[in-house]
Parts: sequence; structure tokens; C-alpha cells
Amino acid sequence: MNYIKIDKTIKKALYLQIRDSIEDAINEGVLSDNDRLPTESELCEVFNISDIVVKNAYKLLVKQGLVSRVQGSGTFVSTRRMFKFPLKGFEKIGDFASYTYASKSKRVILFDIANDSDWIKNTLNLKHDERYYVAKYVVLIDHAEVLYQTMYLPESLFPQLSIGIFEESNLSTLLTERYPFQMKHVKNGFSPVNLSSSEAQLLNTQKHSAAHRVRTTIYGDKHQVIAYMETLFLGQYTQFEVIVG
Amino acid sequence: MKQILAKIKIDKRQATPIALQIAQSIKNLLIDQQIKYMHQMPSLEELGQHLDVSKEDVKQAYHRLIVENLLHQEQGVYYANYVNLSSDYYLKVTKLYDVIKSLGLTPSIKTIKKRVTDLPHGLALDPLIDPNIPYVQLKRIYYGNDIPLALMDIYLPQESFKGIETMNFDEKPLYEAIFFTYGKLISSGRRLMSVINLPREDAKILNAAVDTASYQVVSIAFDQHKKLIDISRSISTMNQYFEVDFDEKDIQYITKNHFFYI
Repeated sequence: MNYIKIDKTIKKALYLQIRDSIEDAINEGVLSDNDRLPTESELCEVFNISDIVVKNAYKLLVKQGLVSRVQGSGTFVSTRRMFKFPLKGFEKIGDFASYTYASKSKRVILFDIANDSDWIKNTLNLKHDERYYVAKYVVLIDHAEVLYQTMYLPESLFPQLSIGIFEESNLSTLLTERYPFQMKHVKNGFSPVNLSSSEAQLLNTQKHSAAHRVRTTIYGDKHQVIAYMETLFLGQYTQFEVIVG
Repeated sequence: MKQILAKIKIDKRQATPIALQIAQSIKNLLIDQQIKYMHQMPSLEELGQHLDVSKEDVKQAYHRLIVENLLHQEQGVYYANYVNLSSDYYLKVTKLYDVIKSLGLTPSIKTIKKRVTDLPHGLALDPLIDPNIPYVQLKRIYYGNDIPLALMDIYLPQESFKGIETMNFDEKPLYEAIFFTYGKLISSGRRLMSVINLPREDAKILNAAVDTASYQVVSIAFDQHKKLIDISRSISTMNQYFEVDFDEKDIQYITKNHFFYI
């Protein structure tokens, strides 16, 4: 916590001095995303100040969007980039397409052929003995985790699919270029969830952080289900936008 | 209640703990509106017997759902405590008051804060919003059958709504009041949805657990002359699910641009 400096002999309010120190440390790169800040009692002990002062400083930093507080875990620097996606009317909300980034990567952590979930088989309209591919992966933009996705594809529709093919294509090239499908209809269900500790680790955030869960079913031109996926987006860094009226 | 019983499903071959599976199954039924608000849940014994699991597992599952404010218990009887606002609430010009009414609940409103203030940091989300003028802030709780459903923090530009801070419409829908007094009609707008960990003070008002993942919706509304009506931030722990379908235009756009989310 040596990046915090307080001078009690000057007029400037103590909570503002703390706020400014932390803000400077973030701007100068001394503190980076997901770094933990000292606890209230640690700061009170070192600087001999009341916990109200620390509370006010942290409250202000939360308001400024520079840190986030996670109940039971502490206060963390949050300087991740905000992503905004359209919910509908992609063409009307064009600015998301102009995101510039230096690198985008997909880190596949699991690729498998399975048969064990009745719920997935039901969703994919599979018979009892038919199998499906499962792939889990994290998408990183400029080395920061943006989303964690689990994809399910019917085995019979994707002959010779391999982890290699999967790693090198995104969903639309996979479905429409590698394989002969047309996306005809896409259904999405949105709900808020608290991340489990494994999900939080994969997204490089704290356990119990809030996230968007989006369940997507993709239908082909014969109304067959060609893919089902569940995506987790970091809740505070992902906004979905819709234009109404 | 028998119908509810038959719908709750678990899979004992899975590694997920039984209580968690029961809780998840009930949660899905609540979100899908197959179990509706105030429906009576099967007793611990009944459900335990039906699923061939211990009463203790069912109790654990129910308690997990009580913490999430999805069930509530009265004298040993468990009831569904979940209201799902329709997807229209997110996707169309709607009035929360009417949405609550359309669910068959009796809406009511309480205003807990009313003052002239600056626009909070981060809410100037449109070029038509001037962050340097005074705003009238209204903080209101919207109830359905006396359950708090949403907390709204509303900012109206003071220059367009002269005297509004002294008017008494604390229990009335806002858009009704501003239409009859100021002749303004909400005609268009945009909404931005993020998910937050519910802060302690809001959790208290909404009668929910601290840190529960909740939607925060920022709405910007414009009148018939494309002038700003208000910017509002609403938090709700109840509306936990909504659906969006992409049309062909959207799909074409996604395919053409190799959009990375899909």
C-alpha cells in the first residue's frame, strides 16, 4: 500500500488524498486490473484514521468506476474495458462494430463428444443414443477475458469436427463456411447469475461476481437446431443495448 | 401442486449435489413461469418422497431459494415468491406501472427521495444529455401486491420540468404525471443493461440478499420532439429472464462482420 500518501498537515480532505493516491497509482500503472486494495482496518492502522474516511474514499472510487467491492472478498481495481453489444437491431447500433483491438484469441479448454445430459439432448432434438460435441472456451480481447462460452453441437451434423477446426474458426464461419448451414433464426434467453469460483477463475475475476448468462439456440433453414450455447459475460463490463420506439 | 411436483426433476447420476439440482430445477420452473407467484410448493416430505431423496436435501434446496428471495416460508408452508417482468419491459417503450398491472398484480409506488442535484458520473450516455445542468432526482420503489419489484433512480432535466420537485405525484406513475402537466409523451429511447452485484442499501429496499446478481437497466427517454425526458437507472431482483430473437437482418450482420460473440 506504499502508493498511498497522506499529509495530515494540509487542508485537503483525507478521503480525497486517499482517492487521489489510488487514482494516480492506477493511471501510472502501479496498480492494475484485479489488484486488491488494502482493507479498511489496514489503512486505519497505518494512517491512524477513522474507517469513515476509508469508506468515503472507496465509495468515491466505486462511483468513478475505478474499483469494485466484492462482499467478503475485498476491494479490487477494475480497469477493464467496457463492451457494448446490441440486443437487437445490430445495424441501428453500429458503434459496437467499430471496436478496435490489437488481438483477439479463443482459448479452448475442453473439447469432447458426450451423451450424458438429457437436457442438452432435448435442446438439440437428439435421440436417446445420439451424441453431441461439447466445447468450452474463453475469448480474450487484448489479453483480457471477455466471455466464457460452452457450445453444444449435434455430432451427426458436424462430421470430422476436431479441436483444431474449432480453434481456428468462429461460430459463423464454422456453421456457414466449414459446414453447409444457414443461420435462419437465433433465440436468446438472458438472465443474471453470480459466478461460481471456477467460472470466476476462467474469467479472471472474483467469485460471486455478477454476470450475464445468455443461452442461445441457433436454428438452420429447415428449422433444425444446429447449435446451442451458453455464454457468460462479465456483468459490469458488458452492456447490452436496445433502441426502443 | 401435484403438477408442480411432477415437473421438478433431478438426475442422481450427476456429480452436482442433490440440493443444488433441486434448487436449479425449481428456479428454471419459476423463470419459465411454470410455477407462478404465490403458488404453494410441495412440502419437504412430499418432494423428498417423490424424488426419493432425504427431507434434508429438499430443505437445503428450499433454503437456498429463500436466500435468493425466490421462495418464502410462512408457518412451515413454502410459496413461490418470484415475479418475472415480461421481455417487453426491456425491448419496447413500456411503463413499469403497466407491466406490473399486466401481470395481474396491484401496482403501487413510493417515492423515497426527491431533490435537485447534478447528474451522477457515467449517466451522460447520449449526446443529447447535458451533464452540466441541474436535474431533479426521484428515487422510487415500484411494488406489485406490496412486494418491492424494482428500485428506480430517475433524473429529469429541471429546465424542462419546472416546479416538478414540488408537485405531489409521489404515488403515481411518472409518465402519466409528466404527460398531463407538461404535455410530454415518451416516444423513443434507448436502454443499456448490465448486471451488478446488489449493493447492501438496495438489497435492503428490495428485500433481497446482498450481492445477488441483478439487472441494472439505464433507460434514456425522449419525447415526441426528440427532447430528453429522463435518464433512469432501475435495479430489480425479480426480472431475471428475458428473451430476444435475432431477425434475418441481424443474422446477416453478424455473419458478415464475424462478430466475436457469436
